[in-house]
Amino acid sequence: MDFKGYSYQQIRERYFSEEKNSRKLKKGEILMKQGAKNDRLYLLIKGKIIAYVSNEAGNKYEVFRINPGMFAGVYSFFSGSYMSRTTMEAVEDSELLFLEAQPFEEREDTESEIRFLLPVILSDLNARMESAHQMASEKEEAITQLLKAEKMATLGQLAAGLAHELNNAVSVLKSKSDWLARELDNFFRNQGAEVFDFYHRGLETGQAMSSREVREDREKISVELGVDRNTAKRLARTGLPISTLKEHRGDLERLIIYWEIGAAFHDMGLASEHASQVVQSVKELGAGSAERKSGLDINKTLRDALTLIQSVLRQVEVQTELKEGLYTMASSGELVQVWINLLKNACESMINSRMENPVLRVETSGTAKWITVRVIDNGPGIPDDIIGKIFQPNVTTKKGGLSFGLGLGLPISLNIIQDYNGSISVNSNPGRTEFIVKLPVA
Amino acid sequence: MEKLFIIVVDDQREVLTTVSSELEALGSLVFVEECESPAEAWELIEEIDANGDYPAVVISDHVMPVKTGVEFLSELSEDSRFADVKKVLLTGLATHSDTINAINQASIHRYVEKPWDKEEFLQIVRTLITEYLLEKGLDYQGYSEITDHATILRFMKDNG
Repeated sequence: MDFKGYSYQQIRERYFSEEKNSRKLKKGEILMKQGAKNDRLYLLIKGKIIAYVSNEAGNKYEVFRINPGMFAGVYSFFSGSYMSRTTMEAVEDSELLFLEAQPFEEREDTESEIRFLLPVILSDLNARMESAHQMASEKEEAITQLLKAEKMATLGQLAAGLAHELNNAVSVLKSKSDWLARELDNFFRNQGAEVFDFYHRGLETGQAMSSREVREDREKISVELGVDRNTAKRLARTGLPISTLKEHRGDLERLIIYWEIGAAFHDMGLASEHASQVVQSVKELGAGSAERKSGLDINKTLRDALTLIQSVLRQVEVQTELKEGLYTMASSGELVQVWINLLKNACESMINSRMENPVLRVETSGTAKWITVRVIDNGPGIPDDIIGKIFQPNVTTKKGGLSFGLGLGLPISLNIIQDYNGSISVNSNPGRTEFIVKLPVA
Repeated sequence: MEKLFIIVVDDQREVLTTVSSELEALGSLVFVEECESPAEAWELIEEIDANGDYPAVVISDHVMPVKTGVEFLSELSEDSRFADVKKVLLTGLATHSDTINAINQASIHRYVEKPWDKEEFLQIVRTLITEYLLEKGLDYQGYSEITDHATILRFMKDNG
């Protein structure tokens, strides 16, 4: 087919060259109204026009946008209805040229002319369709984001309420057990050096012996000290050297209870500490209450986090490559919490997979506007079936451990980072999982 | 007389000692053992079995690193030597599907939620020990201090 339609330029020269057939619109002015007569085909030279339809309830829905070089009134002009299907409003000061239907219709060669116009008109319609498609997917994305944000907000409020209640209860338990421990301290001090010593050792260390060590030691204790099996087990738990135990031979049945009271307070202290940490992290989910400072040194927050989770890090090799002089506006506590979440996730996935040579890598880098923090591990990677939802609450690969497997670590982190207008993304493959946090320089 | 063992498995040492000291109320007729991991428990159970003694009740936490309680109890169920060991899941956090697996795969006998009630818990363990003795055909009369009378009567009735 050697048929070739007119180019845009040819159409403009051929049909839109009459000086009088031009129109200027101020921003906000209406070009044509839905359901009203329109017998002109417009060509937008400058500006921008939005076409929308209104429903009976009076809600307006954007249908398409017209940019310079595009036509307006295509439907009413070519369908022969001469009635506009949409209302068109100039959203910028605009200039248009137009072609009137009547003189065009009365030409002798109208039909073949239309054929020449067709390619340009079709490409114009296609552009409209594409823009509608684009708008639809943007809208869908916005709705998804909105739902996600709403879910997080609801959960956050719920969590904050819960945390508040729990916080009160935990605080009472903690302060009362601290008080009781102090009182007992005085009390036992007056019961003689031995009693106080046993109590104090229990309080200081708690049970440091593993269940396996206790099993190993108790036989020896039972034989060497001539105590029954149960007492031997209780003595083995104290971890006190046999020589110390021997010094108190004959009195051990009496003294062991003081060690146990001390150890019980030790455990209560740990447990209430643990509880208030959990409560604290749940509270952070709901409230952006932490104080923000500008000029916060990113590397310092990372080093703080690494210090706090030293015990976990002992099992992996840690490499750092920190570029100095990166500052953002944030609450130090919140950022530390985010890093701890990411670092612990990385460590635990490596440790739990029982791999050889686990390596945790932390890198910072920056441009004039953005700081990038990368937490990289060489662990097994995040399973495909959950990688898409790791930032949702209640998704966890963990079977316990330090973060209690609540599945809240990443949603909390995401909340915090988004609050700072930053972002978190993840790339995960077996052997390399990378969390990338971007924060604005401030 | 043969030795009966109760094995408690929990990765948190404080919980482990709490459970086992509560079980000390059962007296010196049963041996209460603590293990911090399923691996350690397996070693101990093999040893008990090798000595010709009985692992009567295994009480395990669910959420533990490396291997969950349900996985561990399932393994135990699949081993013909230990299929009849009484299995208790003691847990603070288990999903719906964990619970289903606990029943279907691990064939647990009791599911106890943390925090637990000490007296109820002791009663559960007494009942399980009694069932174990009866099912194994061991001389339950030697354990009258800790057995559950109602369980014995029910067993007698069911088995003519």
